[in-house]
Amino acid sequence: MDTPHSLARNGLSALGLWLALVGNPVALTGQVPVTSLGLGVPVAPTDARAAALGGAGVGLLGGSLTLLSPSDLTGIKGNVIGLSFNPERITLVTAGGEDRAKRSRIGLMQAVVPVGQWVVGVGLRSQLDQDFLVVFPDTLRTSFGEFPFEERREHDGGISSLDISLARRVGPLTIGVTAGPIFGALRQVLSRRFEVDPTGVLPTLTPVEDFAKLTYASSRVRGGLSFEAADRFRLSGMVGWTAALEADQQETGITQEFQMPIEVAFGGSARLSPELLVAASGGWIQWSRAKADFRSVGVASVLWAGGGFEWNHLTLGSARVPLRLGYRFADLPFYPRGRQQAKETAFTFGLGLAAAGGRAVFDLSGEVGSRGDAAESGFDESFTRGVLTISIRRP
Amino acid sequence: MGRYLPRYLAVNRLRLAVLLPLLAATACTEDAITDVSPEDAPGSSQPTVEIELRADDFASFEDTTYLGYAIPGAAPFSIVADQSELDSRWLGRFSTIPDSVRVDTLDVAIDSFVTAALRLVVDTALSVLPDSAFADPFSLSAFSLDRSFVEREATWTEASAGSPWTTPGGDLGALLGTLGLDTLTAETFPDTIVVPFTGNIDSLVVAWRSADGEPGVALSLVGRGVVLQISATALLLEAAAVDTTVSVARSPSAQTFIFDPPTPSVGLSLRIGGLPAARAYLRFAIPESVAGLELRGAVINDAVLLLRPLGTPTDAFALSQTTAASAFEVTGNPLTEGAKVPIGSNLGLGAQALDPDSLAAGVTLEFPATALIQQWASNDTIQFLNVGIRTVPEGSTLGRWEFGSAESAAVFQPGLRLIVTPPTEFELP
Repeated sequence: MDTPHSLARNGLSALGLWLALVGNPVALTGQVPVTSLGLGVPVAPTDARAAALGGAGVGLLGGSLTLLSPSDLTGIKGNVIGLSFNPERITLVTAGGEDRAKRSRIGLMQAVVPVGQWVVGVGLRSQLDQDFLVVFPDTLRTSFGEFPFEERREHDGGISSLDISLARRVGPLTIGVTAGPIFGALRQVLSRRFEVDPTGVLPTLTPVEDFAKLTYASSRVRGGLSFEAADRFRLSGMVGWTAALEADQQETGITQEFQMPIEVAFGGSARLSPELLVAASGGWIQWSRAKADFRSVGVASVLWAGGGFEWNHLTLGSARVPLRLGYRFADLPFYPRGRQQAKETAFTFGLGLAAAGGRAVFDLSGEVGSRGDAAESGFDESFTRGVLTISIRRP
Repeated sequence: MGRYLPRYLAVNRLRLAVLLPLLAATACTEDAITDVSPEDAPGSSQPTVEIELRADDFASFEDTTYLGYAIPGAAPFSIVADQSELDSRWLGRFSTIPDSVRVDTLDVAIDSFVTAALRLVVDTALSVLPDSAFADPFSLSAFSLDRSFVEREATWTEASAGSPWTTPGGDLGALLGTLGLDTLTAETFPDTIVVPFTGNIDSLVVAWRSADGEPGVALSLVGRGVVLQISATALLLEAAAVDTTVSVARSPSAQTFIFDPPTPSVGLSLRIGGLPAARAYLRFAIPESVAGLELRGAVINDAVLLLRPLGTPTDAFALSQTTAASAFEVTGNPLTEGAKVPIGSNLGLGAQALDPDSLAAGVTLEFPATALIQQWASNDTIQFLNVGIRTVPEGSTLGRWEFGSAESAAVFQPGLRLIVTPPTEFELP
């Protein structure tokens, strides 16, 4: 049985491995950060277990906090509360050379509580990430001198969802429904700071500090159905509908609506042996509904799929350490106008560690992948992403 | 569900220690991408641009010059000159001549005044002196005035307002003394010179004492082309008291200098400096936008008020020495409130040099006005801005310079040079 000290020791060593992974990006070429396009880059709000299996979080035996399909609530045993922390490092190459950036987010926070024949879930999930920060030097040339300056353009924000889910098992079938608000905010900042003339001849120009704030609001409903056979085989499906997203620029009062996609997802997993599990998921998101709402970017529907294996053979002390490997791909909904839709692909891997007799579970995953292609989509990023999910369980 | 929740809230310290740092890290963080060209950089921006507005470009622009903020009688210097372009004389009065002096520890009555002289401290750097010894007469003479003067009103033609001299240049009476300066040149001219009085000194000085110095004394220069700028004047007396002689020095109780011709009147141009001192006043309304560029609400990165010098004045009142000028905010409408319109704070720290050489070369005079224009840009209720420009200190020079006004050709009109960043139009996705 794990003691509190062993739990801490195991957790820290696992965290060290995960940080080392995130610190080694793979360099590819790119032009602009993909988070600057359209409503941003979709964030797959998966837990680390599903992320390591190529994002195959639909119909995953053993349960997943991903809960893309609300019917998968019944795959989670007991009371669970957990969260996922997603750091990411991207590398892009511009005409001037290679550049790197880091970002991090809480991908999801989820609580699951069985209540009689029902299972209730409340979750907070990242949906679209709009963060970017570019800083570059430039020079203002006037009739009386030149003024070097540094310009910062920053977008800080994104779109999240609050999902309230309910599911009930009826024999081998589970039916579930999720509803909740979609919300978000985006703070856009422009800053321009002029250098002070060391000779004192030229005046010191007043810096530019300008910002605006957008808020987003919508709501979403998802319905799901699952079939599970004796903890050896599980299949799930989901259909979701999201109301038009309203963006409201607070300073100007300008509002705009964006049609949001209908989404469909399927997935399943099978335990091929007591130590080997295979999982796959895929889906379609009809972003093309929003095509007319965007002026500066192209919009297209998205296909995504992924899958992987979980090998449950290794142990650390008395705890099992499942190893996972997978691959996934997903179209990106937004791309520079006049270019082609881009794809995101990644190899995924990870491990899990159950401590304190299974009451605390650490899952870690890593992804090494890329998005886009400079020649075709106008941007090209490579990325290294980690997911750390910590969940506390009471059977 | 209700019975489980308190248990989760009561998790042990270890679980809290694991979760809380992660919860604290929920905010997204972002490192900067720095290798991006300005053309390709994502996000909204607005270029910072330079705009120059001349009087004709403003929604409204009016200007004027007012005179009289310093007069010769209050100036910290005096001019004595003998030029074809300028004749000038010093007038003074000594009303504090004593009737007793202190000898050791005793006040002793003055028996008589033995000698008298005028001591002048000459600012040789600001004077116009001969390069070589004069062949012609070059002397400085002191005369008794036959007529009293009012120092704040006296001019070449009037002893006081409405009371003309019998002879323009002051009604000169008896010659009190003359100092020959023929041998002196710009190199050898001393900083202090003394013009000794001759004749019946005691009678003269006692008469001044009994009449509070009336009517006064005048200094006149003979020496074609010479201008002496005098920074201090004193009456030096030697008084006999009992069995000793005591030196006494007295500053003038009233003094001024009168000159011919008078300072030229102001035309359509703007004037700064001179005596009587001139101030230029501007009242203008900045356009809300220029060529589609919104100025109201924009970031004013820098603003400079521009005055464009006209050519070197051809009279004797061209600025000949570097002085300073500053621009200041005016709290009322100078066009309607006149010369006594209340003034506010300076537009910028320090003052700008009025250098006659650069003014003659046509170099535009620039006064920082960033704070004033920023105030306008951020406050919709401000329509007109009122600005004055003056020399500092006022009355420090007889010379002045003329600048283009709103009535001048466009190339000479006053204006504003702005470095401005219009409001950013942050775009929706």
